[in-house]
Amino acid sequence: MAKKWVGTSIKRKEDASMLTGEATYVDDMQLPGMLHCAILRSDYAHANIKSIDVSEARKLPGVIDIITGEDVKEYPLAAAVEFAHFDLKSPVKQAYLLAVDRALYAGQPIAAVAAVDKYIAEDALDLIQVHYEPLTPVVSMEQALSEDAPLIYEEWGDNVQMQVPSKAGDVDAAFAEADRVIKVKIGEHRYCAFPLEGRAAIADYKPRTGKLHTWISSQASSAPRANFAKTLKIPEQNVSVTVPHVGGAFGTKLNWSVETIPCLLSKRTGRPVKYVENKIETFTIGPHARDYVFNGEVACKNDGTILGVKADVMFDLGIESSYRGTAIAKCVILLKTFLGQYKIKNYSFLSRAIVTNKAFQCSYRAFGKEQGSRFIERIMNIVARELGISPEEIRLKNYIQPEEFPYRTTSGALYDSGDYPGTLKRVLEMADIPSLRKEQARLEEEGRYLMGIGIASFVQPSGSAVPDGYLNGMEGATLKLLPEGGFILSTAHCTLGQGIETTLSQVVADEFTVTPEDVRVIIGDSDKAPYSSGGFASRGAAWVVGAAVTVSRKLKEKVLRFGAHVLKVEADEVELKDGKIQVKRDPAKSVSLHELATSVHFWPGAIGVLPDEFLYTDPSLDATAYWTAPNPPVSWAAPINLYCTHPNGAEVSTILIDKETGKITVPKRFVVYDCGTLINPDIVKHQYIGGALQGINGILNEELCYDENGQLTTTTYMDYLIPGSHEMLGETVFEHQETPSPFTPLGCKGMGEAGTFCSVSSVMNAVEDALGITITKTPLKPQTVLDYVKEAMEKGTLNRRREW
Amino acid sequence: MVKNMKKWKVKLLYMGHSYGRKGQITPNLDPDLWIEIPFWSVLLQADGRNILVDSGCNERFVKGGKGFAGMDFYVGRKYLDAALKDANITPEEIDTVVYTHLHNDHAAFSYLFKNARIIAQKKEWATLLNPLPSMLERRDYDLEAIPELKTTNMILIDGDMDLTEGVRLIATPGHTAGSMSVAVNTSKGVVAFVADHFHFHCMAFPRMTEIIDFHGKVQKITPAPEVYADTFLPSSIIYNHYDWYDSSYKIKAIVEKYEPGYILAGHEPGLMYTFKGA
Amino acid sequence: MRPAEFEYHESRTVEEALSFLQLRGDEGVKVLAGGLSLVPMMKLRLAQPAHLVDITKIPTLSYIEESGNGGLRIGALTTYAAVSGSELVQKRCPILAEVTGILGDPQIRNVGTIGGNISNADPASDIGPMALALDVEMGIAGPQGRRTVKAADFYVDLFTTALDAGELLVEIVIPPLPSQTGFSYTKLNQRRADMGIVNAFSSVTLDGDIVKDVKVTVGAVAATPVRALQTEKILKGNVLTDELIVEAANAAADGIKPETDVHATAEYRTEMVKVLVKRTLTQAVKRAR
Repeated sequence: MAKKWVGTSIKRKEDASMLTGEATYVDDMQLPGMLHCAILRSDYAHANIKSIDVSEARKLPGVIDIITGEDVKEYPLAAAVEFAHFDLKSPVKQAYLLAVDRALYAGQPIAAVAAVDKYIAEDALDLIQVHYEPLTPVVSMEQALSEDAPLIYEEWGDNVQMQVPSKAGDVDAAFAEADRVIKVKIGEHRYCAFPLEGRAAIADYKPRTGKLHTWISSQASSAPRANFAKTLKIPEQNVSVTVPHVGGAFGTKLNWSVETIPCLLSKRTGRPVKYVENKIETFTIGPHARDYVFNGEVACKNDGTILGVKADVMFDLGIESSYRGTAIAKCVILLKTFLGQYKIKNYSFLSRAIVTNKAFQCSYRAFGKEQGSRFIERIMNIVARELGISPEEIRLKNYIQPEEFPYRTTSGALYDSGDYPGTLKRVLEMADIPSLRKEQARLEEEGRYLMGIGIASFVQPSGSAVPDGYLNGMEGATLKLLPEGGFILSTAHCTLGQGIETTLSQVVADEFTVTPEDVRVIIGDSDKAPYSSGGFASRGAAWVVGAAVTVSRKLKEKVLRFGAHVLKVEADEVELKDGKIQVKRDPAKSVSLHELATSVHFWPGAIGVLPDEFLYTDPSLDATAYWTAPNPPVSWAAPINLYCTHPNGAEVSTILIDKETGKITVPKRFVVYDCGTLINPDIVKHQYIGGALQGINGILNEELCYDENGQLTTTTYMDYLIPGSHEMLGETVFEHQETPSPFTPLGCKGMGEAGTFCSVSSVMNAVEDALGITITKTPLKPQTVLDYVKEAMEKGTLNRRREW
Repeated sequence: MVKNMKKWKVKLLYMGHSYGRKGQITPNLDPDLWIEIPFWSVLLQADGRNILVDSGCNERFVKGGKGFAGMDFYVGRKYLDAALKDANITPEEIDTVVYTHLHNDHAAFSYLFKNARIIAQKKEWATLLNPLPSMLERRDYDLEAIPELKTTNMILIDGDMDLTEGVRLIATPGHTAGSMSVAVNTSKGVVAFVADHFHFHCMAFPRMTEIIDFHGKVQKITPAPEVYADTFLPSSIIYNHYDWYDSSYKIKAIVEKYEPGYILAGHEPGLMYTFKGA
Repeated sequence: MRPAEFEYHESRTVEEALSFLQLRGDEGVKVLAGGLSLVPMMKLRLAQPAHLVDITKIPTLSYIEESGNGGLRIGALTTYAAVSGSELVQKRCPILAEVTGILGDPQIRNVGTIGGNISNADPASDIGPMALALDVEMGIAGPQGRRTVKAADFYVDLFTTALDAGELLVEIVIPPLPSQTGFSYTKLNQRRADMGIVNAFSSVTLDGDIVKDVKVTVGAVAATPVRALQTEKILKGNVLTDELIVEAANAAADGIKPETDVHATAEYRTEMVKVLVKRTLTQAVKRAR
């Protein structure tokens, strides 16, 4: 069967609707009798709540209901992850959707109002009186770990929610025989994605039927259904979750503790309740991301061979993370990903998740693995610089080689396929490094700008299945062939703007030799599709496409058998071509899919058309099927691999630093990216470029700042500088490579999170290449970079020769 | 209204009465039947809330013992004080006052409710500021109430509004441009205090043949003939008949049962006998 | 955040707007034009006017015309896009076309008005330093009639101008620009549409190699745009050299006390004043030649 749609860059189907305002987002929806929810947030980062008086707020005309901690005690939050195998602490008292007795971060929901319009709801918040007894807040990891630190969860005895130590090989021997041991300390500040659409939810509880329907802006529809059911004590068969269009998510919409608030208000009032967060809430309620420190030591030979790595990473969770943000999963994920693409046999590693009085953490393009990638990629360049060899050379020396796949790393990850040396060499060729170095020298001579050339590569674990929580791997789809039309593919996966409706149409179209227009994808509705774990961890091209292919082939088998029966030949004598089932040796004998479908349903109908063995057991033209990756973890005991596919790539970033102001611009970048079989190459390219914009802007311009009282000082877009279309970075020269995965039906690898991995590493490496010193403070605002420029001048590392 | 919605206690408050002919309110029906015509308010209570609907009539409207249409009037501050005392409540404890309309016999003494929000319809306030010539001559509206109301925490609404759980304000124009009624969820279901939309029950139920009067005695009244009033019986004081009929249907739709016991007519002579609270 | 309750009014004439300001002024009135600064303040509840007077429908406030003596008159409601796209502006005051053509982003330029910018008096405004250096005059309408105020007297304090409560800014008058003069504006920001961490404006009039006249203004470092008088003193009347430019630029940092905020410290801003003044002087000189 000739491939026609998979591999073709067709225009996305969903765009016209989104761009013209036709697409429906949660805030577009109005239900009769709907109330609006406003949330009162904590003024203090850490305080006992002595009393809450809502009596004045209740009297405001138009206020229908108000809830506080007292009202939510009977609805403890359902847990999101529960890594019982690891040393994970949960709060002994349950976590709740509003603060109970204590406020743990400035911005934590304390009370919620349901009123007849959103203005009255917000006015009511001003009338709620909360009596706080402030406590000392914990505002940094250092403080959290210090001797006399206040304990955020007394019952733990410390402020560490989870720690995962791990060892492999003989790291002491490796360090003993090393030529050099190089210390590295790097980290990133606290920042996150801030999609244009923040949280939005409508909950409609109908008291007479006991049914709750929710519309939420979310990355999953099946998991929140179970989550709401458990928290609100409504049997899950009476809960529905519909995810309409989502205005961006990037990992921030995999937590539903706040969405549970309008659900509870709806359950209590028996009326629909809408909650659409405002931007200050987006920043203060959370989630947040990154905010970690890596301390490492690398043992190597003078020729660049890495013998072993010792590392510990700690990250600032904010408040606890097993009921809300799930960021503790990063402890395990970091372990699996910090070795990157390199054959490092000996390591000792410790990852720790520290709690502080800040907003909770969740995922943000990616979920710890991008941090692991940046760690190893920056180490490679720092070590190369110390040893006096080129960043290219050190990588080629340590890469896993193409013939070694599938490759099991010493930390247990299983990489499927790739050509790491080939990818790197191609991007170096595209960039023409010698010319760039000449330009670099010329600019240094001229004196106004410093140019940096940053080289980095990456492996991107994608398509996760993490046991013990809702980040698990379950992916099903239903496919129907309709009598007067084409196909409907139903998946509970969610559309976040990533073009999944287009890609899935292409996949099904190829399987049935029809066109993507003949396929409609129903997406994001827990009622209408089998279980899907959701749109995160780049699961789309791996798991969801896997399910789409599996269900297509299951239905195709039936369709071919029915067609053969109608054509009065054996099943192995027919094939699909151009939407027709035709006899291979006599193509004129054929029946179109349309003819088959109408004859099975109506003219004359199943009884006149189908063979007996199907007529009485399965006369339908639909099928449901699930796909499971062949290499997911079955228990924590086995060498645990959390991701089924591993794309890879390499980049060269050029940057310019204005020597007098410290401002960085990124004029040109070169990217080679390999995510296995490509379904829609343009979608992949633009996803990558968009992700790179996020990553680079995050490292240059964005920062969530907390002051010494635990108050977030960056609460609006005036303070927090998200990237706009005019930040589109100079030029990106982009090339695809395709090394199919042996683990997925079409060889595709999940790609969504790619952009933030290498872009940050290559830009950071470029800055270090320009300056010749290690950068530890981020974001790289002009002021910070200027300090580094001065430091480099003092140390004499500018204008140095870069010959290896 | 919704299942499991909050239930309110409704208490009738007597704000005085006038003595006149039924025929002046229900034109041509019982023109010589002299009855006491009380002024009713209601107090809605639940969970520490105290909502007062209408607050009586100022005695400055009584000249030589006579008020509207030359009837004997027994109204004023002392009636309000007595009613509140009987309900065991002070003006300061009232958190919200709803004015069904701003006629002089409904919206007096607003300044006494120092801790309350005063709620009226925008169109009603506009009418008070600029009454029709006939209204001015009859002194339907007390212009001296304007500065009084301005000192209060007044909120003007436009149309229907859910005041709080179990109390809905519904716009029922007709008697005046900005009249409204209050639908309340009680232990017996939804009842509506309609003030002057139906002064008497017989306006909602035109075929009634008897009423209980102010003294508890059964009095015979003339049912409206079929050719005169079929669905509803309009009163003598209606600003817009189209609106009045629409509002009547609206009231009919919202009460639990369309029976006198669920409609609190603002001047029904024997309301305290037919409605003993809920 | 959602704004607190307010009443919305529309004016079709300047007189109508002025009389509304007179009548209801003490209840709290704000004038609404593009709303780009006002509406976010209202949403954050930093401004809670009881009344908003929308003046965008006043047809007589949007115009660009010659002012007889070689300058320009621009109506306060003229959008940035209209100003930067105007051939007349490009001919008579190209630096104004340049600045209004790069500030913000296309959406801001299509909605924001030059009068709104000036009367809002944001310390980081892109128009402020230029208005100060070019000696722009503000045409004000009030209950007592019309008056004009020069830019130097117009910017009084943080978000505060010489406008009285009942007055409206109706016109900007750009004087004719001197010949042999180069103008330059630059700002330092992180993202292309951001307000400046520091802004600088220079105009240099040359007579051969002698600096006949020079005006240097700096924004975002004080409550209002400031003149770098020391810088001007060092240059005026002297022969132009690269060293002199550097010396003069460094003097621009004297005496200013900028703020520290999430984007930059006071020390950094002070240092950047020197850099930006040097760069605008250099470019202004180049353009003058």
